[in-house]
Amino acid sequence: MADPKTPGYVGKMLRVDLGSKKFSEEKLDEPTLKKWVGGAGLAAKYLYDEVPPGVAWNDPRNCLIWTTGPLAGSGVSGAATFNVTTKGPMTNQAGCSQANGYFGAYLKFSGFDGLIFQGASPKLVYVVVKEGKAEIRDASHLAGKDVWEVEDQIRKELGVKEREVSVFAIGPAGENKVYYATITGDRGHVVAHNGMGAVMGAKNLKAVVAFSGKRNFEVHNPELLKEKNNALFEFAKTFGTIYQWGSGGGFSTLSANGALPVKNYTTDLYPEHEKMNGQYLRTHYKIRPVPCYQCRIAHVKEVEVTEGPYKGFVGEEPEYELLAAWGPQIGNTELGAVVMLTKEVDKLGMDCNEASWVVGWAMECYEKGVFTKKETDGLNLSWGNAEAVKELLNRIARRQGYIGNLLADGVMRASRKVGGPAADWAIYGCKGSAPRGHDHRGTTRWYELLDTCVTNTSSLDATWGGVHPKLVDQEEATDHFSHEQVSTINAKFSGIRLFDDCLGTCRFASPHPKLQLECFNAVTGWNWKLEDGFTVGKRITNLLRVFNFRHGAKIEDERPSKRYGSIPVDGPAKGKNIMEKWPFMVENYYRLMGWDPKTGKPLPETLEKLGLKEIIKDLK
Amino acid sequence: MHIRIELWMWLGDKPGSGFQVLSEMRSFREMDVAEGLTVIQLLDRLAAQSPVIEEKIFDRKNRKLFPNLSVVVTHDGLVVSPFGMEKTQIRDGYKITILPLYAGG
Repeated sequence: MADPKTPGYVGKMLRVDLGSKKFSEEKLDEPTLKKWVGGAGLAAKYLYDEVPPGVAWNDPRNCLIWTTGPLAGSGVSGAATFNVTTKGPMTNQAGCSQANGYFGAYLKFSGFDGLIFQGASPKLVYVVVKEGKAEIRDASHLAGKDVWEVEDQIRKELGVKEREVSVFAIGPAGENKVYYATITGDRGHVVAHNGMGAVMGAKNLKAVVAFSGKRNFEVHNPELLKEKNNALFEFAKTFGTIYQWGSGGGFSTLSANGALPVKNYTTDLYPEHEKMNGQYLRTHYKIRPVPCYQCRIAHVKEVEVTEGPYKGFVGEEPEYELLAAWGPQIGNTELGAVVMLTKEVDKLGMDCNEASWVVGWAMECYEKGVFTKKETDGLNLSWGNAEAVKELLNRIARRQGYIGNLLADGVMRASRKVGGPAADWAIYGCKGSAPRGHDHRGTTRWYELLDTCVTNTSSLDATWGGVHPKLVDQEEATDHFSHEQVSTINAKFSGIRLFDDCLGTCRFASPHPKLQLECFNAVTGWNWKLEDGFTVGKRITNLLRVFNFRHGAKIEDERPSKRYGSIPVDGPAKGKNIMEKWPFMVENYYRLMGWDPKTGKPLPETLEKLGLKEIIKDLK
Repeated sequence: MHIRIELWMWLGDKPGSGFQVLSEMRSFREMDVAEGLTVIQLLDRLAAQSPVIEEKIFDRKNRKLFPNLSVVVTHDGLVVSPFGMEKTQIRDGYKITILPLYAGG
């Protein structure tokens, strides 16, 4: 039986069988919550238990699990994040990805800590959750619509104003099962990685809606929470550029580090960065804040372009990832075009990272004559041609034509299919994981390159925007190009960011693990130490690693593609070679993680120490 | 030793002390310093000469760069690594760039 007084939790999951249209509630007991916490942890447990080997990502037996965490809706700044976990198409392994906005809080206010979607509907539907109940509604009239249109239409049908509901949906990309289709909502917040939108499309689930409401769970110590929340906010204001300039405020810094992705990693020189960064955007364009739920950082903005060929265009302010994707990666130096492409990729419901890797690769193929207008179905894919990219994104989302359909499966599959020299130009982790929008060969980025290639979540396990060891009282690197230091720091830092992903908080508003833990303790009353957070995170990493091995993961795929791991030819990191000691890095990481250095498999004693004794047999 | 310092902080010529405007984002100064100077010592010296640098870049009392900033040191366009603010000694031809800390995406 659930303990209804577990602070931070509503105490219930809702199962939604899309085939039979049946709902069932499941109570969450405190031992389960203390072991898995919520968010990525709780969802990982359900995925492991309920999706056996042999179930493909688009099989109705695959589960799509939406979970939030104990801090969501608690009043912690911006804490309305939710997590989606499933077996996804890019890696054909477990994926965990999060989005901000309002959904994580509204889901709890609607009566649940999480939703488990099982089966598949014969027709396109959407699900509404409100006041402890759920309803499946016909969505055939929403077929083909982009996510903005879906949000508008659903609000109209339900007769509600903007903030009365949170809506997350798939666009045409999800319906057409583009491998990197996203689940996007609340006007531009994105569950981006591993094609969760495609899984949703395979289930014929167009959207999920949660109604707002009043807080329906306890907070252990509200006064202490208020104090710790303030301390976390004061720190978040000073950490990086988010508060003042948005995530794009670090754009030029990455250029200085040789870490901007420029023209598909063919160069690291991008002198135009000064007029493409967050500071330029915020001082030259019109800005309107559109913050997430109760967020005091309020970095999310709507922007109106004030100059250039896109003057007058209104869209979301591009985050760093989108500035990188639609700026240097495609050879574009027009900031207004970045705003336009940001809205386009989000409307269509595709991951900007993978989309920019496929587009950049296609542009290089066009430059080098591998693709002509025959292969591109008439598109001029010269570097910087933003209008051609807009058209291409639409074709990819609908799998139209040769190029649209080819690129819809992601750059790993597309490049292998085309073959020849072009196969060596694509940027990907060989598990199928899409790197985030940087040149990971650059300074301070090797951590993320390793993390992307060894990932067990099909995203990042250990790092985020680099690693910040000092925040958890660990030693920083002295040499960001040391194979030993990088792999050691990744292993030591591993766990705490996955713990973050259990809580329902936003990384930008809650960047300090220790201060966030204090908020967690104030909400739950559990009085955990930092080590407890690390343990939960490592437990999730190991559970998903065993899941992935059972589902066919191979350690020979834990490496970068040839271009991803290549040596930069210019820029600040010119000549730096991560591959010269790649096997050493990986073995060192495995050893420090408590995995067999040769097979990469978690050792029995590691699993036992993490409370996973029951799955040791699953690795044999 | 002859070195170059760039501030990518939209300060224009406000730092004074020989800093000149390079662009809307960048200010720069070239100077001669003695052998053996570390980055921390250099920042302290600049902050002593410029109230703007002391206010916005370097906390002299705690001998720390402000937490929302980072330092990139390059030589002939290549990043210098290993690097430590307290340990790395500046050499002839180094460029020291102070710029916003990148965190997140």
